[in-house]
Amino acid sequence: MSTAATTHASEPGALRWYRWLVWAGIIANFVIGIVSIAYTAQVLALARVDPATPLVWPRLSAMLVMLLAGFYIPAAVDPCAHRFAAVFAVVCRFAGTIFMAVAGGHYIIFALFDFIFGAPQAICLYLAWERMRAAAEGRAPRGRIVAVLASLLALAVFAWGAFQWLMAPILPSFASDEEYFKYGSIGNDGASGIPYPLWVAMPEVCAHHLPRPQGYAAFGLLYERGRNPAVDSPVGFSRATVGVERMSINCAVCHTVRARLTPDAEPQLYFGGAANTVDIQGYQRFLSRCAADDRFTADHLIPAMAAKTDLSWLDRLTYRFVLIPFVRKRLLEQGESFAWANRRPAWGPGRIDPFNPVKFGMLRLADDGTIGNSDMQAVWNLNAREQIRSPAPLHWDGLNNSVREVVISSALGDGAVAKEFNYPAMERIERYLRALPPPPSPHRPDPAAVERGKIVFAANCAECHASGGRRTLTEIPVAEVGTDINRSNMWTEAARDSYNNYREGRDWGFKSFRKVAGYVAEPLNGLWLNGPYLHNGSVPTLRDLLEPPAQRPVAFVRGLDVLDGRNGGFVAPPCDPRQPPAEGFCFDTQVVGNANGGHVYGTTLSAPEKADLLAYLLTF
Amino acid sequence: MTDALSIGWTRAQAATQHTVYRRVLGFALIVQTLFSLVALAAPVWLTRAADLPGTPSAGWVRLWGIMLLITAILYLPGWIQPVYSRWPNVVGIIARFVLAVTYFWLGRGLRWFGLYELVLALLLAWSYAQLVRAELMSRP
Repeated sequence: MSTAATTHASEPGALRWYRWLVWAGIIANFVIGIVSIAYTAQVLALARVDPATPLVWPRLSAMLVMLLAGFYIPAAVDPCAHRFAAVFAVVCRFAGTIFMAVAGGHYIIFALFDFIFGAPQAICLYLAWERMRAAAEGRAPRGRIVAVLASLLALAVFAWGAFQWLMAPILPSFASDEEYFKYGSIGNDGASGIPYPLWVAMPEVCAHHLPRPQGYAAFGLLYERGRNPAVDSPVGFSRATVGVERMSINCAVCHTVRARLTPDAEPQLYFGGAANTVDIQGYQRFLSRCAADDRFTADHLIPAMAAKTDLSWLDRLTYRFVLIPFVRKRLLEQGESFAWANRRPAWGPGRIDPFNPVKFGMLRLADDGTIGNSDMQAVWNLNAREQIRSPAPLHWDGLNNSVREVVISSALGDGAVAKEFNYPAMERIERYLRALPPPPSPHRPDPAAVERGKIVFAANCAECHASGGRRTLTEIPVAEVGTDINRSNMWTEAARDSYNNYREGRDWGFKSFRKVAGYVAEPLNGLWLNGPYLHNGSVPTLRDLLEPPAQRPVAFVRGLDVLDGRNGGFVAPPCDPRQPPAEGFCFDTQVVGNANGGHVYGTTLSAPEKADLLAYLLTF
Repeated sequence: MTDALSIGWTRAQAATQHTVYRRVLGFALIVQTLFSLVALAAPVWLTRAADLPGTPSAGWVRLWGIMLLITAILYLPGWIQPVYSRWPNVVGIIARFVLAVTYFWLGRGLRWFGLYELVLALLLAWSYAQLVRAELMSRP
């Protein structure tokens, strides 16, 4: 004891600091261990790590942390006598740090815990070693500069780690695949999510940029029954925490259809269907315009945010000085990145140019002047598609025939990034869509007409649209089908090659993008919800589709959700493109990309044959 | 035979105990390291194969693996110089008893780990006691 006391009295200051730090680490291990065993759930919530069920795993880890601390004791008592233990104590802290940093996510907090002891211990041990060596050699000790630089580096590493921990996504869990499809994350929350308090405040602060005073519902975003549009998430939006709680779009925003049999009926949502009301371009433009507005300031936004969410004084400060300026900048940049779309026709509700944003943004291809405006597509029955033809082409022009690649590339198109990407989530969405059947048609046409219509269908349509059709799920050349060519021209060989070689952040394994100069002959499942028809949604009803192009409506209202049980599709009254309708969007077929020509199959049938065929088609 | 020889142990006997203990501990550390690597590399497979309790995220099993690996590293001074570095050996043996009890308490597949730790703890305790005794008895 006296020897140890003498040794400690004469030991270098750095060595004393090292011992104290090791003791501090041991005590911290025990405190963390005991608290974690006693209040496991609370500690997990505080650390924001993955939930564990049952709690035995975090408790086991907590006990191992305490047992580990026991091994550090020789280093704390006498590092000179236990040099191995002294060095290993530091090595093990760094091993834990590196492992947890590699594990990433919120496990980084454990890395920070080890680092906060390991880094100063290493610096002190180095200084002590240098001073003892200098004393033995009879020279002045060196290493102060190294220690200062190492300390600065350690501080920087700690700050980086803390930032990573803070910004690691906290994703809500969902019991069912359907709930995940509707509200789950696709890995874009940090990259393109908008802080939730800001998101709910923007329709109020920028109400003058809304087409109608209905909040986000003005863009056709869909809310399930019982949800409050003022504060709750619409279908197709995930609400995840990445630093702060954020709102981001997911697959369901473009793949959920709303319909009702009569104007007075309660609207129903059908997941996996082609969105008919959502004006995704209008929503994006609203965000950019709001960000550019003079009212997008803390003075206007914070009161609106506070009216809908709980904001602490720290939140208010953070929003005022950091988040509002940052989000404003990002939204303006996003608006600029979509400036090319201002030189093209508007998408309108239920339509999107799905790949030009990817071409000119993610793939960094030059603006080639193409227009890809097209109807959103239903994504149900993917397994059934592959039973018809395997591999089955996907997208209107069959630009890819791998479901996995289409799901992943769609997420990338919606802003997902490598560092947030979650393959199990993608697999979950794929599994859901593969097994999702289309809802049966509610229309009940005359059974006798339906029987006659079957015969007409077999003679005129089955080759391309029946499940056993020779050309079903094949690409029909544009020259043959005659529909608007713009969507086909949009997907170029350069885009194909660029996507197949896309390696941003990781090797995504894309190899199935291809260029086919045609449109896929789709099976007709869920046809009753797929209106308007053709790839660009240029023909409002099935009855119109059976008329020669010259007799099809030139301009009609899109974005309404009342089903047309007589004509097939949705009610779509005629409109004047110069006068926006009170509800919906006036779709003008004379605008480039919107042509309603082609697909003249069945147009020469007699009126009774058309009526019978229509009766049969209403049952799909 | 002298009295000294009848009550004392030879250095050869001490060296033998030294070797026995190091072999047992070496085996334990190798198994522990291999197991840690499996937990790190294939946590989901390990969870299923070993019938571990609950359905933990891969992160928690990996955390378990890395801590077992770190424990093995911290144990090394005890294996290199078992007589001089007594603390890691004493703590290690106590830790194995504690772990054995914990694994039994957690149940399911972890009970096998508990049994393994218990057997190993007993073996290590016995061989380390023999080693210490031999060292003490072989010194003048």
